[in-house]
Amino acid sequence: MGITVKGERNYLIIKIDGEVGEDDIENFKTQLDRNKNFFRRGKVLIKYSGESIPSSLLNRIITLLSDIEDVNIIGVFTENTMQNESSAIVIKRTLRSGQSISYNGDVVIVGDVNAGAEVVAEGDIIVLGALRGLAHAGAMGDRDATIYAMEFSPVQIRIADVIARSAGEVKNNPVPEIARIKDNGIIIESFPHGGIR
Amino acid sequence: MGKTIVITSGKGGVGKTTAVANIGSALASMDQKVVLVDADIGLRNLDVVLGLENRIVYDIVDVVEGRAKLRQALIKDKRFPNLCLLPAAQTRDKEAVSPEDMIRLCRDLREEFDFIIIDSPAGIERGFKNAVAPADLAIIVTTPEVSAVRDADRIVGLLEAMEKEESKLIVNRVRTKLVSRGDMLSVEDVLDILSIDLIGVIPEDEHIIISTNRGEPLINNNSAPAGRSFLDIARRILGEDVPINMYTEDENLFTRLKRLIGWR
Repeated sequence: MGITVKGERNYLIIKIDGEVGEDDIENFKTQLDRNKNFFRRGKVLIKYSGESIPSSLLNRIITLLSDIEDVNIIGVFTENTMQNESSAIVIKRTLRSGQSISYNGDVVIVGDVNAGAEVVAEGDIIVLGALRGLAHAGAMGDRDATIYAMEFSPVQIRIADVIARSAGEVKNNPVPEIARIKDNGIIIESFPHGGIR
Repeated sequence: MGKTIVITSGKGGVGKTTAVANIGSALASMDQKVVLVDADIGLRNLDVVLGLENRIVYDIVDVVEGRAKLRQALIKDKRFPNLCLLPAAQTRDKEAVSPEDMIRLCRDLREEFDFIIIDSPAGIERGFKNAVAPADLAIIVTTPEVSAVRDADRIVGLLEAMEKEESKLIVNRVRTKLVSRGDMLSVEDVLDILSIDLIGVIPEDEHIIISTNRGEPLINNNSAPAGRSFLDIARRILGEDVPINMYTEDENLFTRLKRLIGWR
């Protein structure tokens, strides 16, 4: 029951079983505080025993982890994702400078991705807010991945192995835009005129 | 029971210490009992800005290490009878105090004061963690510059991770003319990025330079736009609903005359 942490090969696995109460989260927090060095620069997998992890719980765990230097959440597994190949996580908060999310599926951010923050996804990245930091979609080589944001002003975006830098221009009236690979380069089009594939 | 407020920024030189001195003396002038705590051990400044440097006998490290009682280390400001300073040590470093020490210290101060205002050092290391640990409210100071806003964003993120729920923003050194020309970030631009509550806007004001060099808080000077803005912030801290006002230098007959004859 509760939250347990163990190391397995190159990963740290945070296992969440059944009901999680306030004291489980407190325990987890003290465990984190005590073992900061253990987590530092670690790759973290979150495994949840139920069908889908409540986003409030996931967000709290991510918030606690983001206090630690260079920790990367590389995956969240639930009973649903084990069966179903395509999966997405929904992050309902703004990612601030120094915070990062990595995930082996699509990532939806309900909030902004500020400059100095980064999102890495094996699939698509959808930002329901402003994208000002770094976004890397198709991180494992999927050149069909796309990056969508309501306000598109990233420092840099990457799709698979292609990198695009911002031209540094300031847009006065931001419109939703989508980035994709076309002819070995990244193009950014307004949305929905370009449409999704 | 007093309220503990930390004033922090990430980036250095944006006006944390000035804000602490002026908000502190403003609150004291409104009949609140206020203690200012300098958490910038090794690089103390708050005593200088308040003009109390020559009265330091014991400091925060002496209290933590048991060489002095808290009461002995507190310096009373003669201009504001309700205002006290707990100075930092200059010959030690941030490691001399732990976050737990700060929490214990502020618990004692709470008994006696209405407001404990902590001046945080720049950076995100031990000194910052010390300063933030006991706080109920964090006031983040930024200037309308991309680098300062970036650091402020990092600070907001760290405060969220520490589960410090209440953060407010001061945008300092705003130059209305540059903003209207589009050469400076506006307060709205800054709020758009940081998305936290605004508690005050301070215009660029040369009175600040004069007052910090003399060691006199600005709030007694009615013609200083920054002083008036700090008074407004103190009122907002006390729960008054004061609209955000961009004060400019008053053009009364006397100042206009001074300008006309080219004397300022």
